[in-house]
Amino acid sequence: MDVYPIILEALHNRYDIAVDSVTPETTLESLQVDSLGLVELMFEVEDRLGVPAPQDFAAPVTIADLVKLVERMQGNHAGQPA
Amino acid sequence: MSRRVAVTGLGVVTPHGDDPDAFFAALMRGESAIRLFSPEDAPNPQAVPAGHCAGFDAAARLGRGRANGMDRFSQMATAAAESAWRDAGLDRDETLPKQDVGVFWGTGGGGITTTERGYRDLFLRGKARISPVSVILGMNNAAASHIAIGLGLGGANFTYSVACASSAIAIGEAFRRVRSGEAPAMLAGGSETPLVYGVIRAWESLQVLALGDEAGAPAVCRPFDSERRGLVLTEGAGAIVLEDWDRAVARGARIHAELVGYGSSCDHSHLSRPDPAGQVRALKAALADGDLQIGEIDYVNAHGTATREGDAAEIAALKEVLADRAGEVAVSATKSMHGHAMGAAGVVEAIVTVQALANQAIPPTAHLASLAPECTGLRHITAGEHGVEVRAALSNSFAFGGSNAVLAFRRAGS
Repeated sequence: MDVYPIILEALHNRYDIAVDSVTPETTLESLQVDSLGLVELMFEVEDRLGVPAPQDFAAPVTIADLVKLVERMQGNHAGQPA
Repeated sequence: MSRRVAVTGLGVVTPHGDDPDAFFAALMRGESAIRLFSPEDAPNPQAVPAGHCAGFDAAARLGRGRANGMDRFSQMATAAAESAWRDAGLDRDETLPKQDVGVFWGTGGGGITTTERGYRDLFLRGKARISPVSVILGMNNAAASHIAIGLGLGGANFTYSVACASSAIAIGEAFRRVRSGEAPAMLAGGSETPLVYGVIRAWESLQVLALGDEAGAPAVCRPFDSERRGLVLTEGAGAIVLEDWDRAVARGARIHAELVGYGSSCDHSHLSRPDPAGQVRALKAALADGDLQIGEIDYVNAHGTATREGDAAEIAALKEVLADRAGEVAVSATKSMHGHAMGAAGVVEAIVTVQALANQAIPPTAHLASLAPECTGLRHITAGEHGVEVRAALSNSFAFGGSNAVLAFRRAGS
């Protein structure tokens, strides 16, 4: 599943952010998504994609970083034994 | 230094809507907002008469981003508080030292919607994790904190959890802060959102809920009636701005009423069975605190939940305190129309009492068709009375746990 639109949708649903103004280079800080906001966002993405977020991860700076992090989560999950 | 305390702002979120004037007008007409209600996502079918704020749209009032960061009890709290603040005109007052203005809030269950959602995820859906903001959404003092953040209020920020007297006590304690000169103004009130499956089931099990079908729901709550069958759960919020009288006058604020007295006590006898002796002490304490004579009281907004024991105990207490004026003082229980807002009941009914003084009008106890023998001896109002003299009025809040609180108001012109 394509991660980017899911992240945009989560940003819109949770923070009422106008997604038209968001690009991959947009920083989370500029969207006023703080550390707790990031945890909330990850929880929502985890819920949508059905893949567990790591308990500990390096905080992404941009939306592109966040997309990479979620793609790694998907990759890791896909590699898990059934 | 003892200061007079003006009520300069009112805000509500009720099943009747969120306009304090329209709310009071509906009560004057005897209109009930109680309807048959079914909670969302109930594992077993459930429908009870309840006061549901169906018209409350948190995203529209607060913005979706802000609303998403709050439990429903904080959403309603913030909406009511910001309405009261605007009503007081304090949003346009740049001279108010907001760092000295505090928020005293009341709630019984706090963020119970968040708590229940978490339990559903954990126990019903078998999830291993729940929302990372469960703690901060669910905590009882979240509402007061959101109000302070939204309005920029840096004074003391306390939450009182005293069951059904929670917000009356929050108002009384805030009143003391303004009267002592410690704060130039305080924002006080409460919010409660008990219309979730587990909470409704808990009250149902206690066998104090008035049950009924869709047709009978609006008239199911009948305080003081011989056929009364219990209380109706209601969600909602109320907020009042208390302000130093001289300050309010100097800035030309509209003063709805004057808060003059506050009395509190504990029955110290039983968790759920009310004791008239404890209520009498709270009533007398409020009168003494406000330097009020019995002869000045024209209206009592009763706690009046429509339970068998509760109504009888309150009537006994009022008869003892009002003594030879018991038959003259108007009494009504507006829960018959808006239901029991639990921790928010005190402020919602304090606002009704303030409105009675401001409008010189007394709302009724609706659906009171057959006065119970144990509730006689007072002047029960069964139809709204306009154009009457209301010089001073009391608002009663008597809680499980035996905690009692009484607020005493005077009309603004006195």
